[in-house]
Amino acid sequence: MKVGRVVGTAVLGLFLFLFIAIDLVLFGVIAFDSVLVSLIPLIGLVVGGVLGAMASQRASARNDVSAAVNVVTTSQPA
Amino acid sequence: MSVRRWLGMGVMLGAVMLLAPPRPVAAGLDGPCGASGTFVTGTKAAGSFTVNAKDVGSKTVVIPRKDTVSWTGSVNVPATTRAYAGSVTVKLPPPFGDATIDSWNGSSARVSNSGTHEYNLPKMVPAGVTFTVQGQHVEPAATCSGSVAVQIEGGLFDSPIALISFALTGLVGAGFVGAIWPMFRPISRRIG
Repeated sequence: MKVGRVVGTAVLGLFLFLFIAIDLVLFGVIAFDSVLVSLIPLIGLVVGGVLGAMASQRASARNDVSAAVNVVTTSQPA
Repeated sequence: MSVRRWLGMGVMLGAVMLLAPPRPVAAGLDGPCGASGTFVTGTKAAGSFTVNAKDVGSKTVVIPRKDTVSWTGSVNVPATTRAYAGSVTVKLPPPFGDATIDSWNGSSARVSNSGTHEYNLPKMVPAGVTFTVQGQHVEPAATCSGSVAVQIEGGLFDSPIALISFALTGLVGAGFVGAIWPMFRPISRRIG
């Protein structure tokens, strides 16, 4: 698992959900002084971190499979 | 946890927020004080109007972006020299507390005051969004507090903040999708 990808995705999640919260305030869906305005970006941080970890694991698994495939194909007799 | 479950949770959160409208603000004025303001130019829809803090209730007051307010304030206490303090604040999302717009303090024997105040709110303050404005005035013999729901007259795109926010949502959203993209790509590939 790459920590950089997890942290990067968590930070992106924080900002994405922050802007979504601002959009919801602008559309009048949630009140300006609602606790959700603070809570939604924190949810984004957690969701981003979890999805980043899952994406990182998936990318690592894909790289392992690619490496194994390369070993198999290069070791085959011509 | 599967991606499907996360998406389900996201949809549920979105549905809850969309189905739960913002709570009406508990407004009014408590204590032996009176306060009123007349917006000289007023809104495009209603023209000049007067707001009396005792009568506002839970109604949202729509104000123009710039105007001159002719205001009065009074407190029902004996006219003796005494210390006083007060402030007007805008309620921010928790845990950020309040932003102070104006405050006053000192010592006086007066029990009423009046004046005019010209204001011009910045373009970055969005129109159509409800803000809770709170006020309080404290003296040894009286404590008054009140709040009112205020909205700037106009539409969503009267302020550039809406376009900026939507653009940043799109940009950061694209970056976020790019960051989690490996989740949607198959692990194995065809050999050969």
